[in-house]
Amino acid sequence: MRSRDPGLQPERTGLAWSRTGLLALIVACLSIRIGLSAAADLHLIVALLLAGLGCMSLHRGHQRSRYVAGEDVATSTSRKFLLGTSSLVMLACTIDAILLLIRHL
Amino acid sequence: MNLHSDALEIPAGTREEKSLKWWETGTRPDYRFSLANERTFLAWIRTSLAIVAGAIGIDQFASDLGSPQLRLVLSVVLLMVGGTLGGVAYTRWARAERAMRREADLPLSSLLPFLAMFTAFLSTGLAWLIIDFS
Repeated sequence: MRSRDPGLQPERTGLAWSRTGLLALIVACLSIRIGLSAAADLHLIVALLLAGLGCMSLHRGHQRSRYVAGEDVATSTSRKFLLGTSSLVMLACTIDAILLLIRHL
Repeated sequence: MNLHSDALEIPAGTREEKSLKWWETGTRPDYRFSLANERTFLAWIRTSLAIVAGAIGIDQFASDLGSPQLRLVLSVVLLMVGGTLGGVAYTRWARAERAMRREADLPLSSLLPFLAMFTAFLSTGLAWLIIDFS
C-alpha cells in the first residue's frame, strides 16, 4: 500500500482526465445533433470519434484515481496516449470543418 | 511514495544519448511535475473542445445571427483554431517534458497572447453581431 500524496497530484490529474472526457462526450452529443438535424450523416463519424475520446479519457481518469487507492498504476505520462488524444481532436475538427464547407458550398 | 526523480542509465550529452529518442534521454522528471504537465495538456484539450462546441453552437443554434455565409466563416475559423489548439497541446507538452528531462528552462509560448487576442476579437465581434442584427 502506497502512502497518500499530500499534493493529491494523481487524484487531481484523474479529475482533469474525467472533466476532459465529459466535455468530449458533450461535444459528441452536439455532433449527433448536427448529424440528425442537417441530414448530414457523416457528422456522426465525428460524434463517434469524440465519444471514443470521451470514454478513453474517463477510463484514464479512473486509472489515475486507482493509483491513489494504492494500486500500482504508473505515474509517468504515456506519450502515445497524449499523442492519440491530440490527434483525435485535430481529426474531429478537420472532418467537421470539411463537412460544414461541403454542406454550405 | 518516491517524490524524487529517478536517474536513467544514460546521462544527457553522451554518444549513446544521441541515438535515443528525446523522451528516453536525460533524467525522468519528478512525477509531480510530469502530472502537472499532463494537466496543462488536458486544459488545452478542453479549451480546444470548448471552441469546437462554440463552432457547432453557431452552426446549429444561432440561425438569426448575421448571414449564413458569416456563420459558416465563423464556424470554420473556430474549428480551425480548435484543431490547431488540439495539436499545439501535444507540442507544448512535449517541449515542457523535454526541457524537464534536460533540466533546462521551461519554454515560453506565443500561444497565450494569441489566444487572448483571438478571444477578445471574437467576443467583440459576436457582441456587435448580436446588437446589430437584433
